[in-house]
Amino acid sequence: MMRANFKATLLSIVRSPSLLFWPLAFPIILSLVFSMMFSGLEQAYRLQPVSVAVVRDANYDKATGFDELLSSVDDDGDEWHVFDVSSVGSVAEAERKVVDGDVSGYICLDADANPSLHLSPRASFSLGSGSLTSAQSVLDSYIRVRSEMEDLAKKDPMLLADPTVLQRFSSDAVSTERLSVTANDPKASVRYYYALLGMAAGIGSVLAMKAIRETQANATALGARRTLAGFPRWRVLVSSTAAAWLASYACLAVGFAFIRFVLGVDFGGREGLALLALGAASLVSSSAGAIFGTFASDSGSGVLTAITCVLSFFAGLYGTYSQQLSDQVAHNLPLLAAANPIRQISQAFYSLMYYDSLEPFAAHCATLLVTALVLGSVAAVRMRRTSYVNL
Amino acid sequence: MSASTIVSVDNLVKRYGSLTAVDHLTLNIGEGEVFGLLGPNGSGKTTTINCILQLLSYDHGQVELFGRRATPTSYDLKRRVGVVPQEVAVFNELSVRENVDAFCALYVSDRARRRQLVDEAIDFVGIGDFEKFRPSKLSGGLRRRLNIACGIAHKPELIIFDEPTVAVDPQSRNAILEGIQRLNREGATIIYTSHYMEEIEQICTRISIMDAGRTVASGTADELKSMVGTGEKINVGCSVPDEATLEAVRSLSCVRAATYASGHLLVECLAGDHNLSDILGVLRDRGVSYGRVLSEPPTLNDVFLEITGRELRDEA
Repeated sequence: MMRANFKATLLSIVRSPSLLFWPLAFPIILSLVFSMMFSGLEQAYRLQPVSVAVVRDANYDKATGFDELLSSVDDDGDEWHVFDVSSVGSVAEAERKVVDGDVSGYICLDADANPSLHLSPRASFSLGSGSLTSAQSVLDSYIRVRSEMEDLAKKDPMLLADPTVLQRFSSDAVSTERLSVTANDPKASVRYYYALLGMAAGIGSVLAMKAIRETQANATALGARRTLAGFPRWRVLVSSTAAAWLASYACLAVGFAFIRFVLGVDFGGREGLALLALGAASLVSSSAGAIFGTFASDSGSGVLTAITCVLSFFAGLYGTYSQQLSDQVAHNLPLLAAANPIRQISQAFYSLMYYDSLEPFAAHCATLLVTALVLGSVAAVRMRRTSYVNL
Repeated sequence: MSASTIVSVDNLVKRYGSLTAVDHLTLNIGEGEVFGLLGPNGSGKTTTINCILQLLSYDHGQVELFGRRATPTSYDLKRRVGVVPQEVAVFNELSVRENVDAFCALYVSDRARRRQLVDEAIDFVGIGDFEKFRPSKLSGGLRRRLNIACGIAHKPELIIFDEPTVAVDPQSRNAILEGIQRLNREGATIIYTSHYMEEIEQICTRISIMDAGRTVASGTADELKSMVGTGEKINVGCSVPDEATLEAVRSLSCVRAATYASGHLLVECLAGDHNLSDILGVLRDRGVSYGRVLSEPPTLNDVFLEITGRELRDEA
């Protein structure tokens, strides 16, 4: 009996295109929008070598160590591949190469052997800000180091004879070391996708709402008929809710697959656990939908969508301000933040991405399961009715 | 009425706030009966049925099905009851066959047995050619038949039909009524509600007329007709009677009204044993020649209107 009812409920959901559209299409459409929005952002932070013509004139010959510096940042295989260098004899020749589009800009040195970078307007737009900043930093650091060496030469010329001092100036040793405190490199955009999956779970709650409405005698004629079943009520309710959960989970999994494998959003290589989190997420949304399915009024889907939108705001979906507010609520009112399932879903993915330990992830999943249990209990109390004062 | 009672409603009271929808109603339905429940809008028919089915809680009284007290969790009793609601209540997204199977599964777990029952139900209502169709692709009559198949597939011993022929064409209506009679012949006890008096008269072995939540009359169609003062309608094809003859007819104690139009004298009678001979005697005595004479006995509709009144009823 339960299998037949599960099948009937599942078929009635999957054959309702208007019902399935948003739970299925929403994460795909919005993630595409995010992808377009964030592609510029990611590009800006990606280091691309700047192709430059270097004017090798008399000033260039006077610039001590500049040639070595350029060689060190013109290596294809190096992490700090900042410039693609080609040499020219004069500024005019360099400008011609820029106009012809052979290079993005040129480097020339003034009479004091200070280098300056000249870029075409097109290159200024097309290159990411990270690339431009790095290129300028290389030239600035050359000026700074040379200045330090000149100061040192004035104070104690003998020091320059010490090979270890020179070695320290010429080496690429740095005083700070790059360390990653998170399991994966931070990416500003992923938080949006995680919150988006939370919102998608919220939108999926309408599936359970429909499934349960159609078991409730006070809501639909079909529900009245099914309330007359010759088997205990819980069998109809459990199988109907399970069907709604499966449909909701499948929609979320499709959205997740699109975000992960088509858009390439990182989940820290823990896709299996992410699917587990989606299971807990759809359990919460199905429980919430089930509660609204027990009301006689047909306005449940609008209310559910409104609640989902509000909770998504506090999960950080709507931009930096929304994320700051979400963090502030979590910091100052942790219980309130824990009660927001969309934030919990988002944070579960966040934990997978950034924490080595699975403890935070497990904590968020446990919170989701407790939420599902509470909502499910409320739904069960309301759903199990077989006799009504009014119909 | 047959020996064993299938439905027993004792002193049932159902109130909605200050409105008493069912007012100390008592009725008994025996095995094998086709029991008609008649009443104007808002008379309490559907409320009574919902109370029998335990869908509605009630304020007072008791309902027994198959000799046992019915409760909302009497699942073994529910398995013996089938319901065909007034509204076509099926899954719009499932095919005809999937629908019948889904509803049959609410009562029958065994898949093999269910397959056989579904086949039989589909054959019974004659929708085998449409079993892969979804309800939205069916005509109104076919949807009604699907609605019936969903209610009877598990072979219930008691079947409740709540106005099953609303908005169907005469052919489908006839098929539905014949089907109900067949189910009854095969052993099912039927409760049938309808606003169509001729249907009730055609298929019901016993009728209860409800008004204001109470049973105001109960019995067979003939018994009900005999309870009221309305007699037959007599139509006499005759030459034009003079005014005095017409007055003489009207003055007969058995005549409620008499008019002449287009060669026909139309007389509405009160209940009586010699109405036709009395009227024809007046015509003969006054030299009015007459030809064809038709006598229409009172209908259930006449009885219904006389019992429940002719004023319009609207449900709240």
